[in-house]
Amino acid sequence: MRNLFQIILRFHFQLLYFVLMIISLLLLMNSNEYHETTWFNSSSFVTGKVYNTWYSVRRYFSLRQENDRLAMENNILKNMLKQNYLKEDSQLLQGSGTVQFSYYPAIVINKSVNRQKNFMTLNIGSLSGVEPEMGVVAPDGVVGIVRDVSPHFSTVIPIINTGSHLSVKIRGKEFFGTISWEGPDYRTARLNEIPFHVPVEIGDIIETSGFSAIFPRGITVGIVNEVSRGTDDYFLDIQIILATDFLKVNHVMVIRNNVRKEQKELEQKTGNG
Amino acid sequence: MGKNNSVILLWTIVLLIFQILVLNSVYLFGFVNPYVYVFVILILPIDLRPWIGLMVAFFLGLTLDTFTDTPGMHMAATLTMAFFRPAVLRLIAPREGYEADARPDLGEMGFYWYFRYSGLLVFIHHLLLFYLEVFRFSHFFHTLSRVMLSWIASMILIFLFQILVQKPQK
Repeated sequence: MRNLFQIILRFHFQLLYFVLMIISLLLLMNSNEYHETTWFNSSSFVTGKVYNTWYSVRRYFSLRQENDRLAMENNILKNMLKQNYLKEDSQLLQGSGTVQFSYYPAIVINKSVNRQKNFMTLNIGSLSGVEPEMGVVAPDGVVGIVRDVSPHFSTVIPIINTGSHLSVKIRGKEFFGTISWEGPDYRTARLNEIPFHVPVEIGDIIETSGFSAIFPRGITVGIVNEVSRGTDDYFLDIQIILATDFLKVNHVMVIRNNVRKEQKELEQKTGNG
Repeated sequence: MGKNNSVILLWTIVLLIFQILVLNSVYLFGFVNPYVYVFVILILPIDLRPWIGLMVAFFLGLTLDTFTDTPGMHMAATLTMAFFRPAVLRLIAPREGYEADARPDLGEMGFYWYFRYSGLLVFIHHLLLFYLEVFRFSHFFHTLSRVMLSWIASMILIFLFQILVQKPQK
């Protein structure tokens, strides 16, 4: 017993390192499934508060770029106003009443772009109506999908997270695939599941498919940058440049699909049938 | 001694704020991220009991991890850095050993000593941090280049901080 005590005393430094290292590695392993340890989460109260306060200082320095971006988006939206259409079209545009998608403006208060599991924190949460699995877009294009929500904050898995998957199609060609990201560059991603026979060209625009009921159809995701036959037997190897600049993204919109629940329930019923 | 401790505590707070709020969103050339908060471990006194160094590293890593949502990552890197610190100090000790109240200080120990001391320890820290983050070796050389470039950026900042923190020369 005394010997054991002496050994512990003698090697206390190595033992302490060993124990602490095991604690940290356990934390690391458990966190691979994104954000399981909720107290670490930056949507938790204290860290969220700190980042929010810091953002209120920092925001003044990017006002000019933000203005430009918002003016550009305004321009696009103005072009879609129903006054611009001929009478017959405007009657069509008024539709039959149900608004499928509504948007909540939000601000990115924390993010990372140089990791494998990148993430973002937004300054709105469940009190503002945000729920997990809602889409997030920036003026330039798709950003990601909401993962966790607290009363005042929410975390987002952006496209540039190795765990993200996004159903997309090639604009004007009606071929569907998925976007995935393996790192390391936050500016590019991969387009998968496009078969050989599809005539993909450099410069083709990739947009959301609307399949998952998270995003509306037709929101820009990126532009095809490289097409090759790759190693796979059936599918092309396609690299795209992402439309969203994840380094600069600041103002975003969270998209609520008002009939998503209905769609999901119906699909589940059919699936179980 | 008490004064020295409060100076270290003050620097810890300053560095953590600087790291979390400013440096964590700095990406030189798109992916080079300096980690200067490890300076806290560098300025600990030479004769500090090693296990206290480990505890400091533990809480330092924990704080960083909490703010960057990387449970265990910074912690493992800072712990390993603190673990190797006594060995590195022995390795580069001057022939006659350290004086009783010696501090790991650029002015006191000289440039060559300080460069080896901080360079080695920061390299250990960055190596572990970046490879734990990637967690696989498929991007081995890309990650290694990130380690090297971040190391250079961190070292420049650490030398700047060191010049700020040290006592004016008599």
